[in-house]
Amino acid sequence: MERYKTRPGVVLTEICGEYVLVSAKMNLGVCPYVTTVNETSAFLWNRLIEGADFASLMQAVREEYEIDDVSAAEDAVRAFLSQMIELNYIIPED
Amino acid sequence: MRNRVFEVEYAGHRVRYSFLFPTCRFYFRNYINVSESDEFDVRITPDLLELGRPLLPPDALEPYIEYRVLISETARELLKYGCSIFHACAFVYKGYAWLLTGPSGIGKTTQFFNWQRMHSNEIDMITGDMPVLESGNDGRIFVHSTSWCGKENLGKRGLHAPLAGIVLLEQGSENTLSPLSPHDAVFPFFRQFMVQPETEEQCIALASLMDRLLSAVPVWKLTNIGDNISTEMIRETFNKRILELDGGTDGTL
Repeated sequence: MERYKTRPGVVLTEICGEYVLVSAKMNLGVCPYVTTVNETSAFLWNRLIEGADFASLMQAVREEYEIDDVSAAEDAVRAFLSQMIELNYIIPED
Repeated sequence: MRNRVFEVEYAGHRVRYSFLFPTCRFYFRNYINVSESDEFDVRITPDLLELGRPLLPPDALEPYIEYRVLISETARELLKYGCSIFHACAFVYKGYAWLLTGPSGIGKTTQFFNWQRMHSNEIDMITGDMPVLESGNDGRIFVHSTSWCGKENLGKRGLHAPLAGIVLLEQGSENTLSPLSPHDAVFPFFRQFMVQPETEEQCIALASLMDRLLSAVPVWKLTNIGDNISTEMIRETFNKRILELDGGTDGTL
């Protein structure tokens, strides 16, 4: 089962309607201090916090955004994970 | 044996310091009270002192290094109360507090001096460097003085006022002033708060303060060459804002 976790010390916040990831000092040099993310990313971040695995993320995004096309949903989830892993905000679990 | 603890009040909240170097107290000047206590809120470690050393001139005295390192530790402590320390030149104009912010050396104090030279006695410096921003229950942000007044040592103990606007300064080859959206202000403003949170709780507290700050007041970006014209642009913008706030007056004394 493909699983990911959010990096400890990173928090999703909302500032004037913008979703912003804020990282604690322990992550200095590991991931950016502050990054704005879009609504879909914020939605998927919150599902990861709840413990969702890849399949659950796919299911959640299809339901939330009424996506029938499985490959479109997979693309959206993969794009989110890829960006977040690149920034070190998300860690793949073995 | 009880320790000597030094208390400083910020926006009505007491922070108790235990200094590594007792003479550090002198940098706080008349902001500080002494008491005997077993408890304190802030004490820096020798390791933190060493981290602060390269950021200051090589001949900086150790108590002064401690004093400067205490800025971020105090800013972190104040997050408990919905306050923190923001890097800006803060002054009062027509009953409201205004912030000129931006990186060190960008011209914040230059703008203040320009204004003072052109319109003497119109503005009163809260602090030239590190005001405390406090989120009030009524949605307003209040700006308070601190002993961290910048190299020109400009500031007035106890001076505070409700915030009405913020200008983010940038140097350029010409003068332009335009509104800055919260989206565009978020990233530079996180850098202007003098704290990087250590815990998730502090991340949330800082983001909440940022949300209230950017919801409460407009932000403008001034690209400027540091001349009198750019200062007049700021003054005109503030006068328009005062007109909005005071509802129908012409914004002049």
